[in-house]
Amino acid sequence: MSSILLVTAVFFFLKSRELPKDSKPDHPYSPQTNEGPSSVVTKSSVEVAHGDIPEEAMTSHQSDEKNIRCQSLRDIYRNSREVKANNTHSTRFYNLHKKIDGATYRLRFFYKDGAEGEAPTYLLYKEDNNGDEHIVESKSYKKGSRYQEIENTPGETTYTEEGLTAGKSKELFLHYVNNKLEMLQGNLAEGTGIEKNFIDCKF
Amino acid sequence: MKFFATALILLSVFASFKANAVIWEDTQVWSQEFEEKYSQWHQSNSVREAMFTNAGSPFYGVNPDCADAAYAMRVVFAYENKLPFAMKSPSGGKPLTNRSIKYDSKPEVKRVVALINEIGSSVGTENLAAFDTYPSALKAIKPGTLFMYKMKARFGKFIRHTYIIKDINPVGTFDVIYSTQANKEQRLPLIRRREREFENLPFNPWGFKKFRWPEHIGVSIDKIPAELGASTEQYSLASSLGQKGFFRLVKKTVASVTESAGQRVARSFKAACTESQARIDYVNQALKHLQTTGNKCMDYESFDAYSTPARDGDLKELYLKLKSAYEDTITLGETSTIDPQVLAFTEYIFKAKAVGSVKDELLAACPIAYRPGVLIDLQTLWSRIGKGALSSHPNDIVEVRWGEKTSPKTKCKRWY
Repeated sequence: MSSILLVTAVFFFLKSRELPKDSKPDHPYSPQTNEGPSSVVTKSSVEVAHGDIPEEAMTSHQSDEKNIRCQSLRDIYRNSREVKANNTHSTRFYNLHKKIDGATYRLRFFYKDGAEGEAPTYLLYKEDNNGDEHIVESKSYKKGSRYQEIENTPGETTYTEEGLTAGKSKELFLHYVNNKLEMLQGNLAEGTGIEKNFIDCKF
Repeated sequence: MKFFATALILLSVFASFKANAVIWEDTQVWSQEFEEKYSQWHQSNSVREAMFTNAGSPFYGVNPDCADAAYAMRVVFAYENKLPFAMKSPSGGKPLTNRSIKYDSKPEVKRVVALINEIGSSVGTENLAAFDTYPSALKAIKPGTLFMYKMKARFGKFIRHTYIIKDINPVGTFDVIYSTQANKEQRLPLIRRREREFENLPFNPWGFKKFRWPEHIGVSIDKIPAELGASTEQYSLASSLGQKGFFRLVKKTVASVTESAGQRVARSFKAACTESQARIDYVNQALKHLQTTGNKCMDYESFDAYSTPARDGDLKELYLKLKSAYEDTITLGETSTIDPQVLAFTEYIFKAKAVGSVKDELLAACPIAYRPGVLIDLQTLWSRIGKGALSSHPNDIVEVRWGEKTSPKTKCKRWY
């Protein structure tokens, strides 16, 4: 009798550990998996169901004009290293993924908001076996000791990402993934009219 | 029998902790109807100051600053309605969503709290503005819309903030709820201001913003359906109309009734009173900190947390707004629309003209008890502000902070 109960208890325990069946409607996006070492990491894997999203009313002329402007801006701001070398800029955030002895760490820098200003903040994450990142250290104003340790330990960089503000009044925001320009938005110093002064480009 | 009972207990314990559990299962999809519901939810008592600090709340333990509070609202609503949540990954890589299994050792609602707190640790307003929200058309501003700004402070620094619009008043002012870094540090309830007007002109990607649906993360706003109200119109309008003109247009767009000149004066008076009294807390937080450090000179980090130059500037602006509202009323010949008591208060504050018992009445209406045994009124405070007597340096003694004395001033470094 006790064996049957034990087997029953184990059976139900194992049953409760099964992954849930996917009975809900298809999700419009799917999580990315990191499999194997990679020196080129694909950008955000959010899939856009273009077929489901009606186009916003925009004349084809405006759309072409915008595309031309975006492409010419892309040529100017194509490379983040060149932007930093040639322009007044501010690094607003960066992310770096690094593999060390089989473990993947993520170094993140960004500005946290304060009532009177902003606090530079340094986070260190470590990925678990599922590729999910967990914060292991967080420090404001200065890098933490573990952050510095990982930063200074040789390893394989598998991903970089940064956000810069550039331009005369630093109102242009540039987003790079693996040194490639992904997005540009904000106000341009040049422009022949008010509406032409701000731009929002995705590449 | 004992063994059976033990097996049953073990069984029930194991069953409550599913391995690889997502934060929550989404069985619904975002739609116009859900966005309308999101808006109504903000107007309800579900969104209130103590929603994260009340020990009985399921979300007790959420500890947000300004941007975090905005993310928290979206997460909580999505969770309660089994909707998906997604945001650009703070640390890079795949988006952070409700389908993450990283908190699977916790019960469901605690997974939600953990998600919100991790978001709070990892991002600020810049992430929210640049990646997870889109600009709204003025006509589409409604409860649940955010107002975000970035402004230049002194010495090349910037100040950024996020307000959550809880409701829109009939006269076109905003009932807002929000948090701050200081609030977060002290685990205080959210802050509510019921008649807020905004002042900071929007420029891309700041201003009136709404959360993106998961499928719109990383997508150009041209691709967001028109019915969701995505538009960059506020940027060109702000640029062409200037501050006064733009916010007058916003007010006209969202209002359902016209505010009289007298109502505007009354509202401005209330705002000046509220923020004058709020300064008591800001200064006391610094004094409390000094007690714990033996009055040591503050380092940069502490100075940043406890100084008040921007907030003192905002306070002065509120007085100037009150003055402007009063003067406009005179210009328009509408002083009869002002409540006689408020009119008397305003004239006393700006002209030091005390008639009858107005001094005592003003003190009763808006007492500023900034230190034990001392009580001042708005006229006294305005007089000190006007002379530049208030100190924003957190190492100054309380009398100097409030302009009661102008010395001895601290010798500690003024970082900015």
